[in-house]
Amino acid sequence: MAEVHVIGQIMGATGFSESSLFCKWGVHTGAAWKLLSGIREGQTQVDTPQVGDMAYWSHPIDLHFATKGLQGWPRLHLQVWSQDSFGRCQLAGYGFCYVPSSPGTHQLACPTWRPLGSWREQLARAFVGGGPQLLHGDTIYSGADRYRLHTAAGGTVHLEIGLLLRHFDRYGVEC
Amino acid sequence: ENNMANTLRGKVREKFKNAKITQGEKSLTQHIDKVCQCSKTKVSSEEGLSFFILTGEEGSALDQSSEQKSVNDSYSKHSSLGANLQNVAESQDENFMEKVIFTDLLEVKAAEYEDDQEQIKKQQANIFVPSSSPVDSQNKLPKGMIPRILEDEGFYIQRKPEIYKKTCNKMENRLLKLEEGKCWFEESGELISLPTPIKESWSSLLNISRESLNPALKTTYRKAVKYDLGSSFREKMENQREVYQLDLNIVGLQFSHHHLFNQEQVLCARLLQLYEYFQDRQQQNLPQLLYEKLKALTNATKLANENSEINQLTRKSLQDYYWQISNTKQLYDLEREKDFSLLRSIIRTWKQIKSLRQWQGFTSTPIKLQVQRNKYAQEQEQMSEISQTEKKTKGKALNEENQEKLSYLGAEFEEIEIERIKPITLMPQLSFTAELTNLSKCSLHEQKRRAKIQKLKYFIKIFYNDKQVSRTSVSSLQCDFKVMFQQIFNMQLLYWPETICLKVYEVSKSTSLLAKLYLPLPNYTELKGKTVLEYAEFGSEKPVTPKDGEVRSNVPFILEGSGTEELCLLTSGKLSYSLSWALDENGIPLTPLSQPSRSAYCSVLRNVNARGVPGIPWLINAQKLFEWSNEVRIDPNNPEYSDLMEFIMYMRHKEQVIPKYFRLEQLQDEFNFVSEEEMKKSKRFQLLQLRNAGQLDIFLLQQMPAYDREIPDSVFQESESQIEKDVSLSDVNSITAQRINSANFLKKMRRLIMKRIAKISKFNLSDIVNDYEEIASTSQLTDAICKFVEPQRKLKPQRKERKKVTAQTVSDGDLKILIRIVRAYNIPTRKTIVNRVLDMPNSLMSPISCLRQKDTIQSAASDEILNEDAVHPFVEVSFQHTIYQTNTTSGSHPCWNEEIKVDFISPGHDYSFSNLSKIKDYIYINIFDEMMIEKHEVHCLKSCSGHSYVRKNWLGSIIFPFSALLQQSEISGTFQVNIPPVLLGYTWSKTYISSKEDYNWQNLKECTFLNIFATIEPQISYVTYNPKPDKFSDQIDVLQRAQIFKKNCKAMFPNRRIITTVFNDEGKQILVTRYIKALNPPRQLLDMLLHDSSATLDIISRFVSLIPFMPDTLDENDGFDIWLTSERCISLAIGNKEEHAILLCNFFLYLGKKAFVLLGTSVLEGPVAYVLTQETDEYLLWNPSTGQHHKQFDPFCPLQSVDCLFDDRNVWFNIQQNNIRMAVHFDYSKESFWKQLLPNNFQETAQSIQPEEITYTDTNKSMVEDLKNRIERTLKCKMMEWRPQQPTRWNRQCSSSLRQILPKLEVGIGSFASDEKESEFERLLQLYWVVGFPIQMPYTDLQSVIDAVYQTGIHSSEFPQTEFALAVYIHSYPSNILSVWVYLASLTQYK
Repeated sequence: MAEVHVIGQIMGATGFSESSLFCKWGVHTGAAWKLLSGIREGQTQVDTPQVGDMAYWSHPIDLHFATKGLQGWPRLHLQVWSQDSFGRCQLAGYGFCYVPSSPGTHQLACPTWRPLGSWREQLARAFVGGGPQLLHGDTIYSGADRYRLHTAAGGTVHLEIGLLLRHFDRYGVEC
Repeated sequence: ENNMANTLRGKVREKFKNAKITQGEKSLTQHIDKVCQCSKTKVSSEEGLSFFILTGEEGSALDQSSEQKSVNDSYSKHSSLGANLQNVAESQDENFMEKVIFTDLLEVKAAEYEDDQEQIKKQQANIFVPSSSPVDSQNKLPKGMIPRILEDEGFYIQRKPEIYKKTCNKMENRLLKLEEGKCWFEESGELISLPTPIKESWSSLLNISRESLNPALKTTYRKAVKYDLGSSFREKMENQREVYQLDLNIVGLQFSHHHLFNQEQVLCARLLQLYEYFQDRQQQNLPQLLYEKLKALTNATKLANENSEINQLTRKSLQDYYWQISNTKQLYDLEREKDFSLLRSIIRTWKQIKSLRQWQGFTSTPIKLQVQRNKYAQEQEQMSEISQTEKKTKGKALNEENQEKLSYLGAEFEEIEIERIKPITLMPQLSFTAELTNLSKCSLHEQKRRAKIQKLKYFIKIFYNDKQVSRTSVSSLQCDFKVMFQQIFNMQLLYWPETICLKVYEVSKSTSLLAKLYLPLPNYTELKGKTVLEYAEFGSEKPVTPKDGEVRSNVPFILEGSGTEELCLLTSGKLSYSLSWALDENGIPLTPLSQPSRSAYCSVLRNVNARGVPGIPWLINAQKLFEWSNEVRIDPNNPEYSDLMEFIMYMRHKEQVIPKYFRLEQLQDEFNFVSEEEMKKSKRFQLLQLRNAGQLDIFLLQQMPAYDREIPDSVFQESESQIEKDVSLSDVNSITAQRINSANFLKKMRRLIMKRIAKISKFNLSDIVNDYEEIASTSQLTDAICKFVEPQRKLKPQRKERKKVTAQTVSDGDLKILIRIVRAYNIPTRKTIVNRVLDMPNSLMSPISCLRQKDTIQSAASDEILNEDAVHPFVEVSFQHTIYQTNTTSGSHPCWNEEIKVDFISPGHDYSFSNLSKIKDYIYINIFDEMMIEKHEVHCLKSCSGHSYVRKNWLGSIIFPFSALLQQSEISGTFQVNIPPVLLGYTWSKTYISSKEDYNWQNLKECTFLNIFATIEPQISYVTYNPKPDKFSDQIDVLQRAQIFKKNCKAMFPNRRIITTVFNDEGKQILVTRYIKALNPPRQLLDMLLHDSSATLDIISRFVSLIPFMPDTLDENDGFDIWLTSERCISLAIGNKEEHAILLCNFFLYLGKKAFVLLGTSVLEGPVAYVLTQETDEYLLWNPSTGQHHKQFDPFCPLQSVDCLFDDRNVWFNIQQNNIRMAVHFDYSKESFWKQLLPNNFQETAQSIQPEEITYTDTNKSMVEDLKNRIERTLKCKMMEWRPQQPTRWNRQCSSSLRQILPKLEVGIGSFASDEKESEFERLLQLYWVVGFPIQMPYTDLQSVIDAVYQTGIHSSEFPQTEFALAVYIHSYPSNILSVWVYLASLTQYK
């Protein structure tokens, strides 16, 4: 019966080589969690920074969960995409982070990566756009045999998340 | 001299020359005057040199030289004298230079050198070089210590970094030189050092390249794709795949009719069709199946009969068996009959062909029919004979037993049935072996025809989502009217497949479109491996006239041989194709998998709907479905029912309790805080979820209570009732219950259908982004400048377009409703008698004199002028329970010219258009008469300041919905005020005759008009949705056409209304014309007035107007109208404007009128639907919401614009420049005025969706009585409630007399007889001054009645002696349609 409010925003991203960026995001929870209100997933607008390196989205996240257990604490997965001058979109990075578990405001920086692919694909990416993507998106957080994957580092996504917890103490969880 | 010049720079050389000259002069002077060695010459020579040699000493002499210059000049005069001496002077000059320059300035020294050895010696004095020889350990350790080696003692010593031995020695030697150097050594005598930081690399490396990658980690290269959200394959967070592929294999065309057919081919095509049908039936072999079933059933009966003990159960099953046997037998007979008739017609056609071939003398088709006797059938016949005998004996045995009548009956059945079994023994065999007659032997016509065939060519264009994707090659028509393409097209899809359309083109001399056909999208399971060809039929209605003996297309002709039969065949044929999803290289189907559940749902629906099970309700009510399936006994093995069976199985399975012991996450439970049930029970969570789903209206703005105990249960009742609608309404009157139920039902139905239609509302950019205004554009600048030049007041000022404001920028308090009350005409005036009596309160007047006086006053013209001032009207505007009031003026033609600002706060503080349009409130404009009554008591209760009481009497009102204002953004004009049919105490002013010539209307004298202007400030921008029609139920061509028509019309006149297709209550899209059909009005109404046809029309329109209206909102209906059938509308007793109009139109059609439904807009009501009837010389407009009719040129008809007409055959759209009602020509046959949807000769195949006849139920009289009492009681209570300060007295006598008057009002609508002839009432009038009026309304619910009474403000009288009278009457029409009359009066006793 404990409740968790996740209120915050996806501030933006830094360190990407591409310029026009947007982000698809989603929140994944375990079976014990129930979404009371809010939207689980979404997509930000495209931001092309004119000044500086950081792309700002300031995309709000407002979720209210009820949970009957601690398993499956909500986690955020992110996909940063870039849009080129033709309006085409391509993947710029996958990212994943847990929603913090202590109440209060948290500044999160979620580093991202993207699969590198074969040299042919790299070449194609450099010249005609597009790029290798994961077939199964859940690899982003399952992390099974990921050491086998050749990846390149993307930039960092910055999040600012405030957390409100309720009734956890009632079940012996100190926070 | 020349050498000199070479060594020195050119510039210097010139100066030097000057110096030489002076030198020469000097020498000359020396020669001439040797004695004189003056300093002057020395100086001058030095001065010449100082130009190129500047040493320190001579620089200082420069000062002197400048002084001497003048002297030099004087000498130069003499230079000519010594020119011969020049040479001598130069030779002297060289020597002089060498001496002066080189020796003084330069010095030459030898290079310094130091010996190496010496250098080393010097260095050794300062530099220490440690030796690289090993150091004795004794020296390194403190004296007397033996080196201790820890490693030998068993300690673990980390590896030290490897150092070159010599370097180490050197270091040691160096350290030993230092005083404190010994501390650098360990006990073992070695240098202290950290363990080596260098780690050795792993010896075993992962073999990444060889092993195959985990499939979960596979990456794919994706092209950078520009995608359009919404319409493309919806990408989820975990996007699966992006490319899907459809394979389309177009095999060929086969014409079943073609304009180049000759008569033989027509017959041949018919034969083929029959034969195909026959084969189909043969394959299904229904008679055989039924026969088997019959056999099995008889066997079972036999077995059951043999069982000696017959208990209840077996008897029941026996009975069941017999019933089934008789049923199956009927079916069996029917099927066999069909088979036989089919066979007969096959043979007949074949005979026709044969005779035709003979007649024309050649054969042009290779068809040949042979009839064989079937072996299998013979066997079967024998078999049946055997069984026959068997059964007969059995039957006899049974007869002997004769235990039950039932069994006897059963046996009888058997016998009858067996006799009839005669399977078909003739089998027609079709072959294409007949010889074609050679071309040369044919007639000339035939030759030409064949030549034409060869010239014809065809190709097909493929359109995917209305975009051409590809086309086939051009292929020629073969002799047997086939066109072969045999091409496969692979389509890679990026967007949702919506339509796949093939267009068949014919190439003869020119290319023309022959037919267009839509292919159904393949199921997700239909993959490439599938090889079965599918057929799509197509047709073309293009008429082709014949030339050379061929038959025609779409032109009637008579078939040779069968003289009477006239045929009109359209070009038609079949296209054979296969359409399937492709597989990728791994064999994975390239199919979008997103909506499998939905497709299953649809297929279930399709199958079941076809069998006439009422549309939606059963899907919700699974129980009913089970019952139904049990009743019908559907065969579970029949593939046709597979969907349904699956659904039933699934539902049954779902009902079963999931076993407790299977858990995917076993330990989860142990860690849980609470159980699932407890979570579900939490009220707070429920409330939050409801709010999130948008189903909670009350708590939308408030904060959620933090604890469960703070949440009252009542909150859920509303939302629960939305989910489970079956609220018990035992307490309420059955009619009221029906009203509530039907309103709820409609709401629910709409929600369900909307869900199915799945509206996608897209925002425009302007809805989200608020464009900033340019600060100064050139046009603004010129405007500003022009302002100075412009005349101050234009002669013809032009209206400025008001700026529209987007909803995002509006906040609370910004929005206002402005209502300007300009003036009113012809307000009823108080009766003079009343005034007089009030003025002289104590005068005693006999009833007769009073009457006489009244008569005289009313007749006397002179008094009317006095009478003119006898009303003090003011206007009240009320909206959402706030009331605004104008000043009081006097006279029956008052002019207020006042603006009222109605503040307005949107619920939820959301000012978006969609939210505002949900407001269902009405704006009431009421006219009151303010009346002062002199105080006669000594003590005053409340208003002591004045000496009079103020009371207001309601005279009439104008009501319009807020949504109408929102949509039109302004309402202005003169409107007729709704005045109750009888206003007690008031009479019509006789002076209003001025504008009589303008309006030739009979009753104009008894109408009040009010001129108002209302608007919303600021204007809210109207969001228009672009609905995307995507679901076509049937008759795709017509619906498509309707959509295109609508689109075109909207493009021409975006502001005019047009509705071509609507959704019915099953969510199917249907052409509007199918709603129109002559339907019977209630018998009682027709019987009432048999003689007078116009009165019948009136009473029918009144009946329709009494059906309650559904409060409609704007956005819900936009683009997605859901209309009920008229029968539904009556049985539910609710309907929207369009449904009312359709119902009225249907009634009129039944009475033989020519009627149409008209869509337009009304000033007061916004979008409306009227009924247009065509009289002999004029058109009448019927308003279904009031039951009134207007002529076209009636100035006070609220209908403003006429946009669209439709009846049962067609839809017409008004394309006249002016759509104002007065200017519109209603002659719809003129194509330049009215654009029609369907062509004139179009044959509408689908019949109306309305039922044959409406059955009306009788209204329960006792319930009506109960309702009447209920209303009366409630109103009385409310009246008292509204007057908390004063006592409310009821005058029973007056009430009872009012009650008697009321029924007459309903009967005599239109011609209201003066009610004052009532004798009893007369007497009252003499004692009291009575002010009152009846109100009439259709019955929707109690609250609306209460509201209407409250609006009149009759309760607000402050005069303490006021008495009230109230009477309620309900006139009932069939099917619970009620007309409620409330008569209200307030009485004041004369003093």
